[in-house]
Amino acid sequence: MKKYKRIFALLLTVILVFVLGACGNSKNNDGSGDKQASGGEKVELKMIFWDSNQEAGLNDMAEGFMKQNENISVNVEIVPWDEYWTKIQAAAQGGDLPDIVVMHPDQVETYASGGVLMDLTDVLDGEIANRENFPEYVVADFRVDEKDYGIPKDIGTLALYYNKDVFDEAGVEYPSNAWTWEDLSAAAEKLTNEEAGIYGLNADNNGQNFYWNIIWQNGGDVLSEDGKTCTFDSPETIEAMKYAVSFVEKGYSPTPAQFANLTADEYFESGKSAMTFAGSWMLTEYQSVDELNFDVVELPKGKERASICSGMAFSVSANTAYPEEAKKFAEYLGSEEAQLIQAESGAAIPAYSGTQQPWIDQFADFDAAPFVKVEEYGHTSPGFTASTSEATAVLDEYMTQVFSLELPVEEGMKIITDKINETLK
Amino acid sequence: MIRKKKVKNPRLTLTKRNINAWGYAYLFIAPTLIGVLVLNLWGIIQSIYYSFHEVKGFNDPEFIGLENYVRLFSDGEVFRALKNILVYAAITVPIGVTLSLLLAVLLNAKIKGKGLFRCIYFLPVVSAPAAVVLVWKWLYNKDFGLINQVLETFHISGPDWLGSGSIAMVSVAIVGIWSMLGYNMILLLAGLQEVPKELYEAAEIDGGGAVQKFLKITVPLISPTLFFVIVTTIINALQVFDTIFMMFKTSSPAFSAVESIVYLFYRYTFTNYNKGYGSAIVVLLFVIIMAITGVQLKLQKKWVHYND
Amino acid sequence: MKHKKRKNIFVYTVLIIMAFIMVLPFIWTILTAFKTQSEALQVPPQILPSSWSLRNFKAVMEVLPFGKFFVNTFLMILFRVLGSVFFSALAGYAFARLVFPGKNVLFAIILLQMMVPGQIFILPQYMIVSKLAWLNSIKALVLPGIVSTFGTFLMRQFFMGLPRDLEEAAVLDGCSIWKTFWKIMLPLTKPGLVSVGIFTALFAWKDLLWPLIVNMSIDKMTLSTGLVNLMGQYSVDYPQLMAGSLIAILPMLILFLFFQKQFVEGIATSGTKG
Repeated sequence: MKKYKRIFALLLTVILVFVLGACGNSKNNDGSGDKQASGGEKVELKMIFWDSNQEAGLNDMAEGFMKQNENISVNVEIVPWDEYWTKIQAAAQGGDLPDIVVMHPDQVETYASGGVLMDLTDVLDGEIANRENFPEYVVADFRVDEKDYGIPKDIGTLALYYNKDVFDEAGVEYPSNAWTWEDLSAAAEKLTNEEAGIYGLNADNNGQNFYWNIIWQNGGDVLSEDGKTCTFDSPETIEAMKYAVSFVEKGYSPTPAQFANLTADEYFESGKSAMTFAGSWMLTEYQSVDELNFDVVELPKGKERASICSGMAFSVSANTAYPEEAKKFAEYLGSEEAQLIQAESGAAIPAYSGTQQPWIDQFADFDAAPFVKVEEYGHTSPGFTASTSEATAVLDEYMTQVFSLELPVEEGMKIITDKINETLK
Repeated sequence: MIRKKKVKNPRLTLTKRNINAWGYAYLFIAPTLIGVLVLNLWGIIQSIYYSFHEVKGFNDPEFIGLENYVRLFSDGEVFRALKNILVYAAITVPIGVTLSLLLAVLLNAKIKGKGLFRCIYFLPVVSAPAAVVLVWKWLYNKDFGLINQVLETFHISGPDWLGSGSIAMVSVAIVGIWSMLGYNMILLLAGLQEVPKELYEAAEIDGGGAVQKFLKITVPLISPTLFFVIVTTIINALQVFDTIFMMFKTSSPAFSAVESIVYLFYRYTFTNYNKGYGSAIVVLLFVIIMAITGVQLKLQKKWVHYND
Repeated sequence: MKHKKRKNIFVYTVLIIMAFIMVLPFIWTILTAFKTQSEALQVPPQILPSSWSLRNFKAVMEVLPFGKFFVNTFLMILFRVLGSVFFSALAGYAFARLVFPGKNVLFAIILLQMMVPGQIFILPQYMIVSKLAWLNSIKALVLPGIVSTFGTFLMRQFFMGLPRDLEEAAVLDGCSIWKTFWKIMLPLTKPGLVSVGIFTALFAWKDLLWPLIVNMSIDKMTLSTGLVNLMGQYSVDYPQLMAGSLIAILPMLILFLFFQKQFVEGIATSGTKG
């Protein structure tokens, strides 16, 4: 009897406390209004990003800014990639988007045309973070309707990684920056060892990490200049795709079914693939595998040199409570000083020309310069943005069949082109 | 001819006494009802609303009538996803529920180490999803995964669990059953506590065997809980998403055999920012689940034993 | 005698095999927590770590404010459990045993919540929390779980399975509806209440997307979301992640072990004469 009375009382108290607490506390979250920080008032800015490996670097950059602006404090928040865009979306609709948001080229259009981001054209025209200092295709990636919405942050590029031990075992000469497509195929052939289960190259059914680059190296492209037509069926592209698939055909590469069991990275890390096209972003992981003895060269040359060079950018919330300060911070983030800090912290290659050396210097075991070289001939992602992302579903369905050798290359490209063009209408 | 007059339940007539009683009832259900109306119903209504509009990105919804639904009914992807979840449910529900029931009964009986076993069976339920996915990917690996290695010793060549469309859904189903056993076992165990021991004893005296006891006593008496388990397991099966999301890439050759309706919804709503079409997909799933649950609720009179 | 022994051996064998399958990922988590990243990434996988050092556990506890995570998670679970158990019992009883107009319709409305994927509630619930200025607080974490349709449905089933005689006796004795509920019916459904409690706690503990969306600073994070901070976009330190996961599992395990005892056998219904 007594026990129940006690429990009941407890329950009631708890619920009451909760309800009362609900009515009382509204200090936590201040809404957005236009606040002007004048002389001495403490301003708090929030920045949000998705890669926890870069948190330290971003904090360093924030400190650099705070030193120059005593009355502003910056808070960096990390939300993992899988949840990042849901959070940003919710925050945008609720009007609480963090002041500085790191944007992705595939996403910026949706947010810019939704009126969620601040126009930063004048920042890029200014002195500190002038557009001339960044690769122009990265700046262009964040341009929507003739206005700029992002200050370039970093560039991610691709290079050819190779496993020195596997090369030594097979008695094949290491790759060089002068390699061509023929060199790549020849080496892949010699390196492939069926009994040992070793493949020469990871010819992964992955555009960003593999076949877009091959297409560009042959002078082809995925979308037309204006982005309105799909050009997968152009002769250059078909020729390039035939080359890309040849590795699977000849048995020099695992098949898509095999990649479903072990990822391309796992194949390379375990020494089962001698070579792989992979991004600068994989360095941290590859380095942590003690048994992996690798080095890096530029991607081989087809008719021309090409590699993906994709950058992220700092955007400002259109709804920020401190537009002046936020803009100032964004400008700082695009400055030489901040970008150098980013290079030194190591996790990302800064987008600002000439600041990349510290990033290269941190790697003692191999030469990371090939990644930075890409800046000169890089291509940005074909831009399957939210509005064209149904094209990705087409690729998932048909490109997989092409790489699985179930669909001949030429026929596959024609089907893909037709279907993607349909989604673009 | 005798016409039976429909007798209204006396407690539903408008008397002062009844209204007083109703007051209590409404009070009892008020918190939950208000909670659901505020937190959930708005979301559901919004989804239905969006399904009749084109809602792309942050733009305002544009009314397009039944266009999303027309597209839905001619969309091969949707039919494929429907087939996938039906396959998944057909495997996981019968096997999962039966296994959970067996486990619950076994762990309710006089065996040593009951507590330990219950704890162990509960572990999958609290395991970190990252760990779960990693382990199953290794187990399923075609060349050196544990499952195929064990099959090798029986001279059976193991299938490509992760890479082949014909078996991929089975792979997902196995993980699904594995994850839900702990849940359902706990629920059925709770239900078993309501069965008075005396009934078992009486049956023993009457000479009933284990199977007899099970079918004639246990099942009817835990049927309310069993009903709950079956309904919720079916609903969850039709909504499968997490396992698929973590174990398969969209570019995997097996993907089209495992993409579920919720995955499709996720793709359209969150990846493609196409909330209109995504909402139509959700509405379709909603209608299907409502229908199936409705049928089950009607059927419960036939086999669920309530003390009414 | 022989018959019973054979049956027992069979039963134990089945239980042990299944237990092994159930526990495999957990064992793997433990083993990986002691490895180095390099050992964890090996293909084919290396089973045992080369040394049993606690370095990963130490590293994780340094990097993440686990203390705060525990407190936040605990509070979130506590309030959600209190709310959902109590409200589910109330509503479950009403739907099971009370008679009132619109009962079936209202029950159906409540059930609707279970029939749609939870993701559709995220944005609307976010808007509510945002408008109430509850972002980045425990209240925001608790809100979506304060009532439970799952719990209501379950409690209804439990109440419907109880014998009528006790209730009728109570009514004859002049007990009010509340008294009948609180003093007589509710105690009989203890296993049900415990189940609702466990599952509410579980869903709260596992919830990842919602806390990530409504929280803005790391010291408001829960265990599940805090762990995700160990995963970089392109590379995950698996040993640390596993170590973190093990630390995070502790509250749930303790809770379960504690409540497991509540699954006491049999109900003394011998108070009524059939």
